[in-house]
Amino acid sequence: MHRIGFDPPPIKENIRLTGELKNVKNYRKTEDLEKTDIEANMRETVALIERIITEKIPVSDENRTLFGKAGNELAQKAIDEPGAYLGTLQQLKWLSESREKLQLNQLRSIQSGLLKALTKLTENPNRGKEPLSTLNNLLLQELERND
Amino acid sequence: MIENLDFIHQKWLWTVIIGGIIIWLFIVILAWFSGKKSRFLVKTLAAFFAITSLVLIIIKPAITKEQNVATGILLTPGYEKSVVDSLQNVVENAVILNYNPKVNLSKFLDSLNTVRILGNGIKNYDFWQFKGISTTFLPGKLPQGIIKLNYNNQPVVGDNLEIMGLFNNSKKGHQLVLQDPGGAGLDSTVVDKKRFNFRLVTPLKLTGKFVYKLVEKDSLGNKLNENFLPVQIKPSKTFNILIINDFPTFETKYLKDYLAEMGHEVLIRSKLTKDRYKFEYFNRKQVALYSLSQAALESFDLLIIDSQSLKILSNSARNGLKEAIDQDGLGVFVQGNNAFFTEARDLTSLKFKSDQNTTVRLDQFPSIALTKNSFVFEKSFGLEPVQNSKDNIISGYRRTGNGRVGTTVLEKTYELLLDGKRDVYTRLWTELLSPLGKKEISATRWSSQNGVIYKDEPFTFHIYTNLTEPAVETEAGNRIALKQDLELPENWEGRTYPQRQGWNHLSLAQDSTQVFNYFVDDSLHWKSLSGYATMAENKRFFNMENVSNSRKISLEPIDLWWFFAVFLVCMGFLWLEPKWDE
Repeated sequence: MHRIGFDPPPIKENIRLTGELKNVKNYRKTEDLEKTDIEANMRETVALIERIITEKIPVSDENRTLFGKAGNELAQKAIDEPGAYLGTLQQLKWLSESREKLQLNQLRSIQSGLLKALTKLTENPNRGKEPLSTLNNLLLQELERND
Repeated sequence: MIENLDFIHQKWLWTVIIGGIIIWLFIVILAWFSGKKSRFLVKTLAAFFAITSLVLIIIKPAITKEQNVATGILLTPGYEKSVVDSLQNVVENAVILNYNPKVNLSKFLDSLNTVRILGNGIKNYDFWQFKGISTTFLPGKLPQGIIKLNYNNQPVVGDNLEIMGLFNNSKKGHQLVLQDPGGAGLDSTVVDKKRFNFRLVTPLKLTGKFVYKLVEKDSLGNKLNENFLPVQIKPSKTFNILIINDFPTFETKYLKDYLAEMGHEVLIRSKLTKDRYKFEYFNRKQVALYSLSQAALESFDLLIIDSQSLKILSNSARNGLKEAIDQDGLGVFVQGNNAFFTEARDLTSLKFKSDQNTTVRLDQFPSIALTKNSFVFEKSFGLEPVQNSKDNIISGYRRTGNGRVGTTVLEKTYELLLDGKRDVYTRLWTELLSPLGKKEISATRWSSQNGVIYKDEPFTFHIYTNLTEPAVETEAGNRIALKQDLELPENWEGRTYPQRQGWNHLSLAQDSTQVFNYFVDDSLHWKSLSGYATMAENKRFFNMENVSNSRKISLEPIDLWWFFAVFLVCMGFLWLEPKWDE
């Protein structure tokens, strides 16, 4: 394309924006948007059951309260889909109240039921770890040099 | 005869001979000056023999003998009977031994000079016993079952657990089922090829140490075998993110909502007009941030900046940013525009070439068309691709100093959210931002080369630490001796023999937070996998170790009583000789 006529040079911002800025203020907004985990007790229960099985720790009253709370969370989900979670809900209820010795396969089936009921987490950028190593630093320095 | 003669105390040979000659000369002189000279010659001869036998008693002569040539056949799991038979036809008097890692092999190996190893091979901790022996490794057939396995055993919660491997089987119709710790099926696949590459995936929903299971079933659904997949799911760590925009965009609006909802600390500075900004703080306290400097950027892990803001940075801000990247490891994600892609940038040194397509299908989401700028990355040394579409690099980053600077040529990714494809959007941005952000520096790192760890077998681990004298303890509180690497002083190696099946841990005595969890498996599990690994290791070791067909030679000492008798006779003569004349 051939130029026809005159192209004015772009006007610098500090000349162009000479309007009154006195009333334009910085604006600040603070918000906590992080979503609370509505299934926290269910997650904790699954991990606790794993520990009860592998480390053979006895079930305390505190644990039973947790099972109860997890049951309440599951109950919320069961309202929408009673068929899928009712069995697990019954077992969890029994687990939170009974003082009998727990059977391994019962615990395993509760664990599976809860795992299935848990909603999939949204994928999330994760901050990784990096070991501090002289070899890494040497390599990076060498790469820089050849840049 | 004489060439077979050797001395056991070869190193003393000359000292003893010279000592002997001196004593002999002393006796000769003594004989010359004392008494009669009639039997002088006989006396010197007798003295010579006496002292020679004395010398021989000290240096212990021995006869070298070549041992009988014998070949051994070592049978390890997975050997074929037909190979043994044909070997026995060829090799006479072959000694056959069944390999058992618990039995000492030295007795078997001592009498042999060649060994044929049949089957999967010997365990790598027994290799040293075969040094100096000519060994041939005749591998058997590939084991049946899973022979290769690859999965991340320390994934982050929210990620997918992805199990990939190679299944070797002659029968079709077998099923592989991935089960959760409770035993419920999560994913499965049907083996329809002889060599079958499988991939099983399940989302990870919570943190902790769990043992998933990989079950092999036949076509009727009967369980054939069950193997453990120990997984240590780690919590996800959030970033402290700074977003700088010259003007508000939809892209930033949706991105900030997503990041803030996921719990990241986000500070957004968008320009309203000259020197007036809109600050938004999510999940964090308020701070004023007007100019970029290394100190102001120190607390941030990741900077998302549009190319327009990058372009108008003042020189001091540019230097501050560069130092924050190089020294503190700040990650930078640039939201590019056409001008950014055409010009080569001093800060980023990322290069692009034009590509007329404005839609692209990424390799990981082949069914979804995404909008992009009419550019793709130009391949260059040091560019780490993040997202590809066939041969074109769509997203990538480069390291500069300790930090990383990256970008993507994709645009308007928020349209995915509007289309209801939230999973794709989150996956896309997770992939883009995770590798960029500032890494957490860990002073200690543990690693292990062992694939499957078995009870009572050596388990070797490495620890990288900047402690001068790290001390590693087992669960029982026993210290493990560590070996420091000669070239890399922060690299230490240790070995232990796990005694308990299940989860075990090692810890650093100086810092109890540094714990290494490892899972000890039952010896009946992962047989095909460890069999295949052993086979590969044996192939490598015995092909490398090119032992010359050395003959086995043994030294048999001559009985010292003979020399003693000669010594006694000669000395007796010398003692009796002066008395004969009287």
